[in-house]
Amino acid sequence: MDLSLSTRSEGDRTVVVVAGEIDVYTAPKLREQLIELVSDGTYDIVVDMEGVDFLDSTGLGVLVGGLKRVRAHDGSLRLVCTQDRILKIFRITGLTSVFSIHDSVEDAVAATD
Amino acid sequence: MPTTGSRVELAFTPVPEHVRTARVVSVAYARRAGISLDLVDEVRLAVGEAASRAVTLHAVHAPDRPVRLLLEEVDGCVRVILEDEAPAEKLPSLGSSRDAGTQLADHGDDADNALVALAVLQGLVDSVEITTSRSGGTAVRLTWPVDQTQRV
Repeated sequence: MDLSLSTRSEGDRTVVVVAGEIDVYTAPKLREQLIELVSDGTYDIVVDMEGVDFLDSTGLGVLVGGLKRVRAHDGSLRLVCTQDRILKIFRITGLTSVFSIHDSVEDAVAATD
Repeated sequence: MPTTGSRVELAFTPVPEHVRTARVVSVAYARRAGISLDLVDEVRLAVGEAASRAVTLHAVHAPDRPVRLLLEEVDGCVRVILEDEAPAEKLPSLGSSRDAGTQLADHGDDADNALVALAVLQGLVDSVEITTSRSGGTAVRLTWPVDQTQRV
């Protein structure tokens, strides 16, 4: 499978662990997962991207879509990502200022801003 | 070892699963040609964006026509040409990658993916050229320098 997703609870957050490639083919799977979480009443989400090998603009769009959905319920969607080659596409699009990007799941779960 | 002028052509059904196929072939070609490792990652993302754009456009305008990828070495560079057959009345203009960010921030997953992909390309790769393709669609041309000492 090109993309694997799993979820777990940590404190009052739900952590979505993503591994593999997020592109035009696999991004819909992540999109559906985020939509499902929100419709189940989960509005504080951490997306752990440390296992992500590839992220393109379609994937970015899905993450932004998820952020908008939780924000409509005063929620949060934070990212965990330390890989420079994944952060690159956030930087060149200026989306580093739109997302809270953390170095670890612990940091993301504890963040309140 | 590939000789100068070696060439790969790929024609693929315009479906999302083959965007990765295009990436994988391009990365393999780029590595063999001697593109430095940090640039190979750029090739992967750039070809991915160009191929995603073509597949998105074909889904609407030319679902039965193939998208074409051409890889060749010319003048000490690897040249990648991604051709689509979506009718292009005028050549799409490249926004900046920040424009792509704004589009995404405003629209999320409802953004115009083809426009966003092109704008991201522009921010990512130094040499992007957009021309009309042989079939009346768009040809996206990307170029990267080759380091002969790094050929695999």
